[in-house]
Amino acid sequence: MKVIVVTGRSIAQGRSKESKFSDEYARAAATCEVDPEDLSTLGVKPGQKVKLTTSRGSVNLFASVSSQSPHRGIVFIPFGPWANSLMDAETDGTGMPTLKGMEAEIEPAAEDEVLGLKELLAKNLKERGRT
Amino acid sequence: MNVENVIKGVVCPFCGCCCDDLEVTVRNNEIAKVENACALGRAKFERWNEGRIVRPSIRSDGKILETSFAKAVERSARILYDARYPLLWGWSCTSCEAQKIGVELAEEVGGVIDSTTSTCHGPSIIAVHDVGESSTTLGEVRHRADLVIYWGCNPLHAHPRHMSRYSVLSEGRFRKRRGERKMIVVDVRRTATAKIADEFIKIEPNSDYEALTALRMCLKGEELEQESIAGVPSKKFEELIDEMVGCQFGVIFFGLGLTMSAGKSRNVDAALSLVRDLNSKTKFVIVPMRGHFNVTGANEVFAWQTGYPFAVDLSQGYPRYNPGETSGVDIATRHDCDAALVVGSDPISNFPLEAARNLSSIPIICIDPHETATTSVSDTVIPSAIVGIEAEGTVYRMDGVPLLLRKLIDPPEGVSKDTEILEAILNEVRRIRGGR
Repeated sequence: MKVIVVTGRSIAQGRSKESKFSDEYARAAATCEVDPEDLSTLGVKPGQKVKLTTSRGSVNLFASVSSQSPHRGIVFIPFGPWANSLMDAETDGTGMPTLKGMEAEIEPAAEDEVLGLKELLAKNLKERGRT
Repeated sequence: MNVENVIKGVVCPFCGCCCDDLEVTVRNNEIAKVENACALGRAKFERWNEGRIVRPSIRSDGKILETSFAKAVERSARILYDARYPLLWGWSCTSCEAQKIGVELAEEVGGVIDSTTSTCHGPSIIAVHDVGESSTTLGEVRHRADLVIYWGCNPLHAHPRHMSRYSVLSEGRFRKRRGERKMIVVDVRRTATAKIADEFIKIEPNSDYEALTALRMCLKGEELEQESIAGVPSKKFEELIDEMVGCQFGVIFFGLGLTMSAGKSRNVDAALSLVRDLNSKTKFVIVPMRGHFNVTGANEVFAWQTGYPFAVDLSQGYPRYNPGETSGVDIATRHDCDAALVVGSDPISNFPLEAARNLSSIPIICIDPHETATTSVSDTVIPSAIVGIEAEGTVYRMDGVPLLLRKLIDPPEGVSKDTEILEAILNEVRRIRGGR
């Protein structure tokens, strides 16, 4: 299913962002809020896993029912390294990457793993970075 | 001895609201209780000691080794001195005093200094260069505003006390009750903030520019030919502009919904222009919802030191400013920087993957109180005192009002303030240069 990804602050992400390697931060940021009808169309229940893919990358996340619906076709992901696995570094001459409004594909991913921060960094940075 | 001290009038070091009415109880050099803070501010105080770094470390042959402060400083200075084009990034979670030393260091090593402005309201500043800004203080809004519009922001999650201290839920001199103010939210989702608004206007993603332009057309008396614009019936824009013109003191608070989506600085251009034009009919102001508690201070300090508010390139020996070229994400994405100094920020988490990946492949010096994704890939890590809890310093609130953060408790033994660490690195760079 095609969706638009919007990233942003959530209370849970903001409360845990200074304890980056905590389970609480992973629970707050490795998640996405999906419109309930979209979730139903996907056949995904709250708490189950989904995979999001953009032109820049893909990431597995836990899906939750958005409390801010209806917003069919929009998926919200809290700021953080999971969201940024998907986002475009192109700044259009402004210095600001496109962190809201990116086109993505969402699909069920029951068999896949949602990575913790250490594992996500190891996967994302392994090509050229050091982990 | 069990010594307890209640400190009143504490400024919160979390978001750009910089609420200055917190009461913090300190017992035996620990934070025992926090009152008046929101959920975000409370977490910062109550968990100040979680995930702390207390010893400097360096990376050697892939291993992380504890080291002394002096050796960490020496290594940091050497990395920055040897770098061809270092990026000095972060700065929004530290004091103006530390930012000032940062600018001096950037000049000394011929690098680029940029703050997280680049990834929040940088496009807003670019738009202000083009259009200007009909601005105000939050106190004026509190006392006078009868129409408050939150556009592309969700303060209940990002600035939880903004409404109760400064806008619709506050008691002002001339607007005392909620009923004396109208609150409108424009956003792509019915956010928690939208749910408590008098009116919510849901627009399509990436269509803020169209919506703002429609409002400008209505203000000029031009007819909207389409039946709907940005997913909103055109008639709604006519009604909204009537509300805006009809108020006595209106304000638009805008967030990253404008700066991070298609159009970026042009969205803010349209918002600033709308507010400018509204002032021919009534009093109207506009204020960006700044995120980190001293990101505004970084803009102030960089501007008074170099002439430019962010993304300042000092590699030529004089300041250059060209967001899109001299901004942190662009430099990292192009793989231009060959070393980075990161102060109180986590670009490995917060940059798009391509930029983060490039950054992780160069030597990073990270000054931070806590473990982060960036400290985990850094060459050198120097722990710092938490500004506003363990160190004092000046900050600027989102509306440009300077406030003083206080030191409430001592930092862990051996942990220095940002100002002391940066001063030590600067002095060491100068020593290396002098001995060349």
